Amino acid sequence: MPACCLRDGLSSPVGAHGRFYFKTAPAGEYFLVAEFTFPGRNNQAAQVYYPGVNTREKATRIRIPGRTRSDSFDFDARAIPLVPLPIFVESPDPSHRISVVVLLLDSGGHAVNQLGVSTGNPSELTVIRGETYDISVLDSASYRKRSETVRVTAASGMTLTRMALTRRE
Amino acid sequence: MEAVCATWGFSKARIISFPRTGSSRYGVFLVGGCSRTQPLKPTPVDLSTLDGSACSGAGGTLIGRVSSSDDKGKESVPVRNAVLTFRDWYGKPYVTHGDDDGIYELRHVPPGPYTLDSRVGPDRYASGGGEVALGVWRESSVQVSPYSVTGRLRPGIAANARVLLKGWTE
Repeated sequence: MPACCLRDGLSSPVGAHGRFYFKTAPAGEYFLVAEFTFPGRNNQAAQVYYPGVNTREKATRIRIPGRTRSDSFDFDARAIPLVPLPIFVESPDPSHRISVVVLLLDSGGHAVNQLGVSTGNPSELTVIRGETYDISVLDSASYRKRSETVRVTAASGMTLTRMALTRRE
Repeated sequence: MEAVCATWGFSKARIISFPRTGSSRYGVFLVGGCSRTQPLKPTPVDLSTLDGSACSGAGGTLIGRVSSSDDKGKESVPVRNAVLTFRDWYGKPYVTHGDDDGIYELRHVPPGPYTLDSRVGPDRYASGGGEVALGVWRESSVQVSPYSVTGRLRPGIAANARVLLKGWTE
């Protein structure tokens, strides 16, 4: 491999299932680099090299032979700075689902994300592992608070955070 | 609105779709304007909803066409008799089969988000899935494509992640 410099790479989105695909790549040696943008933090991002290191020197090069590699290049989950925060807003009447807004604040009280959801359906927000967040449910029209605030610290493998509606609009 | 849909110089048989008002009926697409009015021949998705057989039953339905294209710019072709595995938010699998026209239906499943198992062969992957809504049919097409490299990060972080494949300049 010529010892010069990295060229601009091919880019792949990541599916809801966490898997990525590159349709075509010329034969050669490559680095795989995962890029993450931090929700609620303007322009803050992080890179992780395959299999889960933060410098190119420690990264494992992968060889692409010019045909499909049937093996899967799975990143070490412990090196990934983002995790999903699963949320479930309880439905007061399971036969009548209503639209609400889930609001996520960081430990400084700044809005990180808000997500329109339907009661009785699980949903997910992406958060930064190790950070603490306050979750509350708002009415989708008036934006009045409709739940108690629940505080969580983001970690891998979080179970559903269940939110109950406490007041009727 | 209906007159516009029906009179604009159609030279071939077309299926005419209208926006519905008031409450919708299970088994019928919700459409906006004339957005689904199209030639009859390539509309197996719409035609398969017209026999009324899906108008009873609980939950909601995803329906769509499974197609494949190996090259950019080439017209995609139906994938016949595809076996698709969808998963609900809890990971429970729902297996469905496409027909000879490449049409699949994931019928009467509980509402919520559904992902599609993406590896469908040694060198092919499928992209699809969608949100199932109670009492509604939703179209969600499935695209099968070749790949040369795959891997995995973590589910549930798609909006904030991407992966680069970086090589070297000479």
